[in-house]
Amino acid sequence: MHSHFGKVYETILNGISEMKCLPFLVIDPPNQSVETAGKIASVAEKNGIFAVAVGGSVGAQGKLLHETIDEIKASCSLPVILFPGNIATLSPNADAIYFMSMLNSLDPYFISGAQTASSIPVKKMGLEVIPTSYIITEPGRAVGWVGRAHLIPRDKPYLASATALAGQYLGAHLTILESGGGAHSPAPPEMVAHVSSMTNIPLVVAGGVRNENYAFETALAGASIIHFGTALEKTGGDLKKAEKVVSGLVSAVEKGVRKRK
Amino acid sequence: MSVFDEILKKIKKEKALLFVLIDPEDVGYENAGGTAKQAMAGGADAILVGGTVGVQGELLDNTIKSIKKSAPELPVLLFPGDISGVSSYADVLLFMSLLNSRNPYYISGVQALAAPLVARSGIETVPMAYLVVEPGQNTAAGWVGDVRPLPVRKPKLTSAYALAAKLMGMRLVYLEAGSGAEFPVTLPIVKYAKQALGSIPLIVGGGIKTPKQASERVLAGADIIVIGTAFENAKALKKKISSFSKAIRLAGKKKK
Repeated sequence: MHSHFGKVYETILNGISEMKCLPFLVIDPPNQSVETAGKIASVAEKNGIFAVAVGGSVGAQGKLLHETIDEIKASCSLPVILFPGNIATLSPNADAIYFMSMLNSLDPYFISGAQTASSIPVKKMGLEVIPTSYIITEPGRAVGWVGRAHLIPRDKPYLASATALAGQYLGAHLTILESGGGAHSPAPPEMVAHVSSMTNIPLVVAGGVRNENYAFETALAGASIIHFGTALEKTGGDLKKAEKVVSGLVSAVEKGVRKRK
Repeated sequence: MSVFDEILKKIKKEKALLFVLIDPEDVGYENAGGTAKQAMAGGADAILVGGTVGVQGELLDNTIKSIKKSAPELPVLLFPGDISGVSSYADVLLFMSLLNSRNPYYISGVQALAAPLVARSGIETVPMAYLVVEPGQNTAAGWVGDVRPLPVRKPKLTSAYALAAKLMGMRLVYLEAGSGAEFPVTLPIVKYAKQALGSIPLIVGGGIKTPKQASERVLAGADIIVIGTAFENAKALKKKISSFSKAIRLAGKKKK
């Protein structure tokens, strides 16, 4: 790793060194109203969420994207990071962007092509860039299908580690291990543990962390960041319910961290 | 201080460096030591070891050992053509991604297969984007790497790739016209790529046959020039390297 860290990345690193595992909220703009996105972000902040990632595989762009980010920024003081599904998921209103390369795609477009097509607009927007490896494991769901991922088998943790390590050697500052939004379960704890022991950049576990048990196991296994998306979307804008879900997930993460050796 | 940090420091001081490429398959390990010695005497700043085909195993290890023995002061950087181009005898592994390949294997696939081995070897690595530009499609690197060559007529496309590499966290960008290319990377491509890269060093290689071509590329923004060493005798080689080294240093001094 080298030293041109941006502010958001530095905040994340400091958060990890203090709390070991950070819960992030994921907002996929088409999946709720702009207003609800803001309210959920506010509830999330009050209940221990560290940052908000905004994006999704399809439809997170344009006016909807800008307005969702503005509403989130107006409702809470959490950093907002773009989590792009394609080159359209760009907004100067965000604080940073996961500049992702889907390392296990079969299509060069998703490894280096989209990155080339978006590099100049990203620079012009002045967004803080976080070089990120994006690795898709089974079942992959929508993102696996869209990104033509050569899915990492769930029972082969070393394939995920080899890919993550390659990403680190290629300059990534963050690894996202993704099972796909709405997956039945997240990347298995064995895989999370293997990747986190083989690499020395923060590991984000995304997709399928749908309940407190998975949150606990994933935090215990060594994830540095956990994405929570669908679990919150399912509350359907009921803020009382959302509050209960977030606080449960955040305590499960803390419990997992305490149980680490 | 890592070997790469020392190279960065030297770029800052001299503004432009000369790297000499030894392809073990062309040079042979028995001649590699002599070639490295001439390179050192001629003023080269480092040796790249690699090639597209056949560079592996004992041939690779012995080539590096012989270079190290004859030119112990020169850093040896691995410039691998595939998963077999890794040797623990070198100082640095350029951990490359051929960003404009059509084949994911050369962008991220081989890197994943090699990464655990590289970790075990403990060798210093530097993340590097490898971009093949026209006329590189007609050379071994372009053909084997299945590239979509970056067009001479659209230099901005190369700069978009170079910027993507920087945003992906890479610390070096190598523009390749291919060994023995009919003409080297064109000046507008070098200029635009360097503008996009800022402080990230830009390496230019392939088809650079004269010191004048080298110094023009330095003035356009190249930080490191790579020349090959195949098919030359010792005396001629030292003379050739020394003329390149002088031209590059002089151009470095004129650089803004």
